Amino acid sequence: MELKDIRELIRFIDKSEIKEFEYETENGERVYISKKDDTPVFAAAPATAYAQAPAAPAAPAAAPASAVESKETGLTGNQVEIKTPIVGTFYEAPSPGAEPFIKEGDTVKKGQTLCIVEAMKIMNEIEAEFDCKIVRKIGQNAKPVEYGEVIFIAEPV
Amino acid sequence: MFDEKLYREFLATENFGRNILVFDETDSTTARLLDSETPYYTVASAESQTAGRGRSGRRWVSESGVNLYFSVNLPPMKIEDLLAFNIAIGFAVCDVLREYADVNLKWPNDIMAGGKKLGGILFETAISGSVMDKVILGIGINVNMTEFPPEINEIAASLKTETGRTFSREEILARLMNGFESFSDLFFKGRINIVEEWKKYSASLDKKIALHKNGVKTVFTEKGITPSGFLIAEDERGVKTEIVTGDIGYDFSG
Repeated sequence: MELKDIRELIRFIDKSEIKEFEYETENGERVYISKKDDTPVFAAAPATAYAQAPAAPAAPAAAPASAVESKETGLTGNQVEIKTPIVGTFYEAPSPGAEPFIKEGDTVKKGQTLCIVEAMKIMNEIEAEFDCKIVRKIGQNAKPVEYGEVIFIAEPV
Repeated sequence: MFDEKLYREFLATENFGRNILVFDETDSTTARLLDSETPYYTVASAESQTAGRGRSGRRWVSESGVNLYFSVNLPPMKIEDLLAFNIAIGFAVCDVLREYADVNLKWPNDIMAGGKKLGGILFETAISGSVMDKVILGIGINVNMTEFPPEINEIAASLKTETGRTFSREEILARLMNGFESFSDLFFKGRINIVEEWKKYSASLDKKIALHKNGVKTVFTEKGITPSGFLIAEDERGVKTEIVTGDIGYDFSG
């Protein structure tokens, strides 16, 4: 999807009654637009189920939306999605050419840095909210991510 | 060497910079504050930095004892506030430096003098879920540097190259802390209108700017910023675009 298409879409949704919109193409491109906050493109993420209950791996399943999401993203067992709380550019390493913060299969501790999302030169280190194993890395290095986009799939440990 | 006693003679704050850590050499003062637990408003200053970071990991050229490289541990704020504060803090830096030289801002917050870069501001945060754990404000200012490496000689400036004078780094750092304290108070009381203020500080308002995207350079006219701090760029046909980040480079060379 081209940037102009997304802008067109945003304009359309902005004028409509739609509060939240999600669209996924066959090749896995995913667009998520939410009007639930005053700041359309750089909003704080709503507290997620697992943010409130980091110690309880079963918590995400209790969230109303996650049953649907599981079907879409192919989550299995107690896997959870880690989403970016901000729009920006995804960086897997602290500087170009450096080792990535984490690799698929790594087990990380709560508070450990998973990636950087840069917006307007602000470097945001996204930390693990709970001890977990990184099952999949969805975010791609130096590529833009939208607010609420899934950047990792993890399994609480 | 940084004279802490002299610094304290100029410091007139309650919080900002009261607690100071001085490093002879460190990888990055921001990294030192991110990796440790220090009281809020602690400032970490280094005589030189070995891994000072600029946007996209670009190295900030660092010579010992002539410039200011410092970071401040700020209390967490809302993500939306940080976007505007990222712009607004540039006003506070300019207010202090304008006592010495004619400086202005290149979006979002590069400190410019005579079209050359004199300093930079780089926030780093740590976010867990939707909660901001840490907010570190990092600033580099070329103060008394006169010899720049050839690759940046044409695009870099210092207070000394602009004025011919040598400055006390301790005094400037203390004055910045004084300025930040009163300014951030105004900012968080909602008294700073960044859209209006930007017009007083922008180096390129209503001027031609070049934006680089995927290696293609496009010329726009700068038309100010939005309340969120995004840049408003107008193309030749008068169509306005808001620049946030991502694949649109904002190396202004026009």
